Amino acid sequence: MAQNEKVDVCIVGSGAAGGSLALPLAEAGFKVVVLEVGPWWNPFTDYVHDPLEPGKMRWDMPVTYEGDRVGRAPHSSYGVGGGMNHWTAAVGRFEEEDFKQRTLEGQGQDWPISYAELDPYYRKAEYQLGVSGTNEGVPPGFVRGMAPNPPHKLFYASQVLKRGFDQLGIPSYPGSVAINSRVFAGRPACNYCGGCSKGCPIGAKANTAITHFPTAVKLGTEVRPRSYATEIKVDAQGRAKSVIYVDEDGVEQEQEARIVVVAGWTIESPRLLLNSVSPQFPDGLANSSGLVGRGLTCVLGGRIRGIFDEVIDGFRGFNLNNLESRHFYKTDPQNDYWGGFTFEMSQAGHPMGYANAKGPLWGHDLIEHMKTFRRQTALSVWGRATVSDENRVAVDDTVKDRFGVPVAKIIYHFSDNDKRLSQVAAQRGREIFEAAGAIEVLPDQRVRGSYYLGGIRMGSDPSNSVTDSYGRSHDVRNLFIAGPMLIPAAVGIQPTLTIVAMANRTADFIRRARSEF
Amino acid sequence: MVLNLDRRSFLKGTVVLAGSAFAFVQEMRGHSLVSILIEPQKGSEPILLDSSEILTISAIASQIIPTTDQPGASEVGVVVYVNSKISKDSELRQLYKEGFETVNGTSLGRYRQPFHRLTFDQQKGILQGIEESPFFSRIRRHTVEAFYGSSVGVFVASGQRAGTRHHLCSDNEGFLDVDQKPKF
Repeated sequence: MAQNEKVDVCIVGSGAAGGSLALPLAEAGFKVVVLEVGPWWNPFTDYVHDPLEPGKMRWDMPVTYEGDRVGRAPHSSYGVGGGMNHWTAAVGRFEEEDFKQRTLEGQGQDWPISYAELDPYYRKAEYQLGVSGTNEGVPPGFVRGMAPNPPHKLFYASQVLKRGFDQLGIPSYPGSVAINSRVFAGRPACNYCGGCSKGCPIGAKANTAITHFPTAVKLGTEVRPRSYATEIKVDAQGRAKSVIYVDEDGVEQEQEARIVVVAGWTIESPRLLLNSVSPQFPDGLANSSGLVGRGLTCVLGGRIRGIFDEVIDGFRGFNLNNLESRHFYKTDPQNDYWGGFTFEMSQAGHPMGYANAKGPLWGHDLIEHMKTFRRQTALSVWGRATVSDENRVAVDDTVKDRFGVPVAKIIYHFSDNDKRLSQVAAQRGREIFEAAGAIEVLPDQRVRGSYYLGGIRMGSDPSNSVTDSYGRSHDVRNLFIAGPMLIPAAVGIQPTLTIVAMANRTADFIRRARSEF
Repeated sequence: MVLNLDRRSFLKGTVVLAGSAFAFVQEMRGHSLVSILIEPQKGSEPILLDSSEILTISAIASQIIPTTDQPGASEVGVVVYVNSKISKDSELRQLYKEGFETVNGTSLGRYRQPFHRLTFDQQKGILQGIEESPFFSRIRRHTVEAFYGSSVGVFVASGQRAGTRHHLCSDNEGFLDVDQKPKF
């Protein structure tokens, strides 16, 4: 195995978390190596807004399942920038109550920090990502963010939707997105092409591949694409010693570091820890609590379409959150379900997807259905799923990848509350569309999630959590986790802004505590 | 490559060379001479389908997305698309082979003609009978992908002209009028 000179920090994963850690550490003079399993995409040639574009950003690493599936893929996008290549850039802060969910609502676990402690880091994140938004229209009692850029104009499709919200007296307002509404930080303004989920070809959408890593590299960080981390080794004292990875030539390498960060998103991160077995950690690295992989949850997803009498051309504009409403977000004991959800305006999509919106129509039925493509728009639901330690990421007993490493096994079951919440959200969405004048409403029939979160939770009690509030392992004092895995409670909005905020806070901690490592 | 076509084979449409880079099939269908010229894309795979399969796919695709006053599946390269899918997946190839056998078997049994020679309504009736089958589900999906993945399909559905790297608008132009009600 080839050896590499010891560095200060080795980060596995180059997405929102990996990038948000790498840059401030590089700025503070740390020598950082980032291992990314995918390539470094070139936005000018590799981002193609074509639904038939083969899923080159989908990692083909196998995963096995027991129970329900959440979302379309068990991996985030593969490539420098990770999920920020495909993300729709909806950003929003969590509400204050979310941080004390166990105490206040009996669900999930409390965060080991309060909203107030994260507030300054939320501001940093909003600035770093160039958030475009406003607090105008946000009702009292809801959190207020900061946006360095003004809000985007309301798309015509959002104006149509807003008629429905207004008619029902439900507050709705321009949502916040990490997409430039004007030139900012040397990046252009959005041109509303709608290609966000295949990668923004002009750099208007925030992505650590363009907002963080180029600067980090100039400051001495080394990004190694096509590098697949398979194991973390510990030394005799039980501290993290090195990351074993397969490099782009297929050669096994060892990278020693004073600090190891696992930022490989929700499924592969616990897999890496569970596969890093040693005499000191027979159940997987950092797993004395037995909780690595447990408490896996998701954000419940759904999409409701409405067809109108008028041409809307709702396929214009960025994909999500041009209009937002958190009216149904907070838990209300009067509801027959726990939790809540956010509504976000959803771009109408591509004809190819719409051809299936009413099932497998064909012939003249399909032709007639497709005539409504220009006359429809959609609302997206982001709902809080229940959190249970029974839902988890484990490693499979028999299936291994082509390097002989056991693959992840996702064990997940939606709860009755998840099903009820999804039903209610679909019903509320229908009402909004009808109030807006829709002649036909097509709700999402299935219970499904958008993507996974949790599984390597933060907490102040080492017997009930894996890390502290910085993502520092209770067991291994030079090992950090970064990303949505840390979140110990249910979430009803996209978590990316929070992930970036947490990573900033962790970077500050590591800078202050440098002499410990 | 030069194809020597005699009149008979020209009309009967049996001029696909196995493994060739392109194919030309021509048939009398009713009173019209139907020509299908499969033109290769840069770097495309050889044509694995024979002439009967080409005609069958083409007929089924025209049922799934018929040509009306707007172009339909006949006007785009469904055959090339299906060919590229089956060339990478032998299980899929088998699914298609079995599907063709079913469809043509039913057609010959019912009307003593291969599927592609039936009337529109006769063809529709046979396909309605296999609507739930994995074969139909797959060929429907491929037809939808080939059609709405083409600039013809995009234009029919959205009125937009696709760019080379962007499917619903010309490259880098975007929709700066996104807040406006469309004018037509």
